[in-house]
Amino acid sequence: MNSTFKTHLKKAGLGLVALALATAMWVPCLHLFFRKPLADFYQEKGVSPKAKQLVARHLHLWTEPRLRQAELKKMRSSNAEWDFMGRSYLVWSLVNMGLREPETKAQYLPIIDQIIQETVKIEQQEGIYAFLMPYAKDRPYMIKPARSLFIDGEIALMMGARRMLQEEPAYKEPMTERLKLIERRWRINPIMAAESYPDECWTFDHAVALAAFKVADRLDGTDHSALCQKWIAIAKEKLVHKATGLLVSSYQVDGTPLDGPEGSTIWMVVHCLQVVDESFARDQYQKARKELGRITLGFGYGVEWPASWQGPRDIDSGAVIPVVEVSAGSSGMAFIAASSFHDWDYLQALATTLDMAGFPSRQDGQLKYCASNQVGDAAILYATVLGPFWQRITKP
Amino acid sequence: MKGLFGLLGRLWKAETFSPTAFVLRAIIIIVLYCASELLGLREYTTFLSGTSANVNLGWPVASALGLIHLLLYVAFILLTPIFLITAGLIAAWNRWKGQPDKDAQVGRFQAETRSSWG
Repeated sequence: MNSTFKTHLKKAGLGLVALALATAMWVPCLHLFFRKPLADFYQEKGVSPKAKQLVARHLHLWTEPRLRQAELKKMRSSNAEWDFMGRSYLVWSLVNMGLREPETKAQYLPIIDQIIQETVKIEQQEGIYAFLMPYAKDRPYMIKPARSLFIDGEIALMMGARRMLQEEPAYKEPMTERLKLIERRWRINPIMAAESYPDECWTFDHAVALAAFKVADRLDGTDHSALCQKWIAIAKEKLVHKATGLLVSSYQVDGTPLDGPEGSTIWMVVHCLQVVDESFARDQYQKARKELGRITLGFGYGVEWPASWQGPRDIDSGAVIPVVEVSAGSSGMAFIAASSFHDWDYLQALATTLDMAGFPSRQDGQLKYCASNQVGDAAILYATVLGPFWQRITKP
Repeated sequence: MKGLFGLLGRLWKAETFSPTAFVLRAIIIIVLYCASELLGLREYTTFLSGTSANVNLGWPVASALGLIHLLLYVAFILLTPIFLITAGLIAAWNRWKGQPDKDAQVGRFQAETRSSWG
């Protein structure tokens, strides 16, 4: 071995050792450059700076029809559901913000009404399929006439939220009607399942509907607690994935599971169940946190499936980064659950990841995450302000 | 301009594991990432949420642009600092061992020669 080669080898060895050392020094520190105080993201009282910037962007979208259409067109080209869910999350967020800062009610109420009325109008004119993915038309609904619990539940909760911020008699009747339809469907099925898509029932949509029943009870003095508890009892018996103890995400009308526990579903489910059965919701959250929540090197994220379930990635999973299995959909929804259950360490770690990998873009006091979309940003906004609406439902 | 090209040339010819080479790699990443930012490719990272940034461009092209920006960003936040720290570590080691960076020495010699002639 000649001396030149030896020198090269020595230099290469030194270079590689230095590279390894530099990596070991830098990687554990990286999160410190993106980590901000939790109060920047979520505050128990008042509205956090991030929420203010996010809502400014959404309000801009809803007051500039051209911008909104462009944004919706992008989302609808992938999934029409997102257009609908973006509306729901924004309404629920604005209600929470209005409850947090009552002086902003006058600004938010017209936007909330505009969203609800436009959504209902689209549903009436174009039918339920306007907000569903195309495969909804591939086969008929099992329960006739065709209705989607996804649409009915979220619209009912939107109306209930609006009424909770400030009573509006015009929403009482349509909200009650939708809830009666849901109740009727649940009661004729031994497993209390209603379809969102033909022969496809989603735990997410049932949880939203349960929360809507609770809102109705608070607003109208009705009592759906027996109905809700019966659903919980059936879910515990029929819809729990044995290996994890978590609720499955979708199932057929007869209760046959379709998908196991899914990150993009369970985080929202536990949030809604919080107002129906707090201890069950907390237990589900803790299990989900263990199975699907991760903090690595200071960065928090959610995976879509637990290790014990190999499921296909669906459109709600968003991009999934191989090896670490980070799911954009699960991570986005994890904000809502972490915020609901005051899991501050996880919430802060998630917010760190968001600032690192969400590609924030700020302009004129407005914030959007380029890696996200309108529904993603609306869900994040909801996580920054949730609390007061649920407190109104549960307070004695 | 001549000086800039001279510097780039020196950097380019630097030994693979020299501090100069690591600094060069960091500079290349910074330049490429800044170019991507200026071209507005950040918007295309919306592909991560399963959405197309530009419906007229088509999903494959839009997501490819987003992926390019994502990779450059990861390189910018991860590799650039690592390369700079590596360069610092090797330079420190060389100084401690009394072996200054040859590439930097050549550069200094050329600069000194130019200034004494000029």
